[in-house]
Amino acid sequence: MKNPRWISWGMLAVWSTLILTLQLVLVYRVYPGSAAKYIWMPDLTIALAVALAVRVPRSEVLPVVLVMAIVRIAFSTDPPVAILAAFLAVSLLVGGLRSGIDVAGVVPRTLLAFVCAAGMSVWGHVVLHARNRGFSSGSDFSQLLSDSMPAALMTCILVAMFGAFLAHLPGLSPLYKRPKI
Amino acid sequence: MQTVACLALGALAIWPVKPIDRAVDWVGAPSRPMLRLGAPLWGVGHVQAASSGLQEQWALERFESETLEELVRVQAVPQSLRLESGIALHAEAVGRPKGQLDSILVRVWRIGLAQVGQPVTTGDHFVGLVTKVDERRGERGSFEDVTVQLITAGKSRIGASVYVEGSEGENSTFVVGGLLAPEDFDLGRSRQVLAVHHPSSRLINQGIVQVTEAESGGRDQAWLANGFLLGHLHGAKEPDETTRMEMLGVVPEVDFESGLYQVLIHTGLEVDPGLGQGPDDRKRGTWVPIVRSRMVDAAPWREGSKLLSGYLDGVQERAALSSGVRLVGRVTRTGPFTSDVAGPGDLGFHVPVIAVWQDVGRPERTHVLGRLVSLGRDGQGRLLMDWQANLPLDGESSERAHLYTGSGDPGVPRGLLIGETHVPTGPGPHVLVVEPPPESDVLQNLSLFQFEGPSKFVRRSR
Repeated sequence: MKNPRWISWGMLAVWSTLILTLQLVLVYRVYPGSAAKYIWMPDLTIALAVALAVRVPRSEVLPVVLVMAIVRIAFSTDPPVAILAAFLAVSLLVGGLRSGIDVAGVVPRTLLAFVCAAGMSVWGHVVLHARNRGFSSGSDFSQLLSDSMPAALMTCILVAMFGAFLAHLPGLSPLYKRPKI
Repeated sequence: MQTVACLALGALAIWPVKPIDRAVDWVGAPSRPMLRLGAPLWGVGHVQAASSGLQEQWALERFESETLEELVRVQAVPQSLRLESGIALHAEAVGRPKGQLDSILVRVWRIGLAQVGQPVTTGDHFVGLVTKVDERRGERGSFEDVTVQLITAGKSRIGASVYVEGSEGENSTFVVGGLLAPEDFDLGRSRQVLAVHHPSSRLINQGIVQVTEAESGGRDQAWLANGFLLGHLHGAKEPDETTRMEMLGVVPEVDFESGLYQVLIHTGLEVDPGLGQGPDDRKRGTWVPIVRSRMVDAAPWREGSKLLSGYLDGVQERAALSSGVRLVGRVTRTGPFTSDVAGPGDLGFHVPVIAVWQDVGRPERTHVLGRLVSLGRDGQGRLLMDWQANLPLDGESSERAHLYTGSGDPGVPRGLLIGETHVPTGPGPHVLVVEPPPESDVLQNLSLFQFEGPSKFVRRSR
């Protein structure tokens, strides 16, 4: 294979699938019942996306994030455009920060994961409210933000503790190889 | 470039554009096999066996749903009025004509009887007049989509008279049509008040209002609805600002906004004296078995599931998903190979609903609630549903009822169980706390409703 990055992207899709499945197992086994009960469930795909985006070469951030967005689209009932927009925003945020500072350390990547997970949750709420305009009663922004806190907190703890491990899952090493000039 | 794409996608997420949504769906299409990849590994897709108690529960629910169908059909027939001779066609509401909030679309499966100008009623109440009849040919045979202009429309007019209890004969005649502001009559915002025009006497401001049209020289065939009720006459609290005369209005006992499910079209034709059409007016759609994936990423802001079939397999948006006679959800988005389903616990999920009282001693077994909108679930998993109470429940205390889907949405057939609740009395809006049916996570015969979608146009109004 001339370009092992394709294999890595495929492996990344597989890992994303397994991580989403793990999240489902946790939800159905630990929190059976309504969605209101798993507000503490970390956003595992956002955790993986942030863990990878802060470490892979900057040119790889966008493809990595897009692969994960496409996998999430397969699993999610959120509109595909909303998921693509959210993951592109993660790519923009991480890419922008990396041009100025090193975000691979524990503190910056933890903060990034917190912001991205909270942002994803608020964004999901906002899109749902917007698409049900006229039917939903609406929520104010501070309420949305406070609702998203538990999951964001769990996500950032996960990235703080296992970020380095997540970034080096088996099969992803070609993503770190610099292209030959 | 990436920033522009991100902003554009964000805007499209909030203000969706259908063709672009469809195009983006193809981006996620290759990842469809992923949905099946993890399920067997983790046992998420396991099927739970139903207990014998649950089997009995399902049988009871099916019986009640079938009983409801008969009740609704019977309630469309006038109870205390004598029908004019001629055929009265049973028709079920299937939606609203595009952009016409004061009209409903009803479907009849007997071709050639409905005509423009014929009156439409439900129970003892007048609803409106037929304004358009389109014959169509669908997959399940020919049918007619009949547009009924409701009496609430600004241009609607019908002759009427008022009867006051204890007095003989009519006391005042006038014309009714269009709406007035309910606040002028000290009524809640959700109530509807029909406007009274040119009353012969303004001294009478209460009583029961009935349709009174001249048989000869009158408009169309509106006289066929003579005697049907329009509502109760009320006087406004303040006189009219321009004429300084007392303003009169009629408060109907029908929810014109979302509570018209089954109606009768009075044809006046003598061809067939029989009422109704038997089972052939239930051909609104068919149920097809469907496979649902529980492999949906968990998010606290929504529930829902995915179907492993898309529009290429014939899945239609807004179609109902059921387990036995239980409503599981509605299709909110169809991709080429998969579809998304919103459950009753999803914010903004809405269906027309009819309540079946658990107290069998009540004179009326059902009450039309109109459209309920989901506000999500409470901490115990119960559904919270917003009820505007356009037609509030009278009485002292709340009543226990089973909630079933009503008519008015093409994709949702009547008689699907949503849950059980206490329906509060008095003017709305109310938030209903609905308990889902027992063991609602155990599914039986998961099926998708395939309804008559875009069908071939044959002929316009006669």
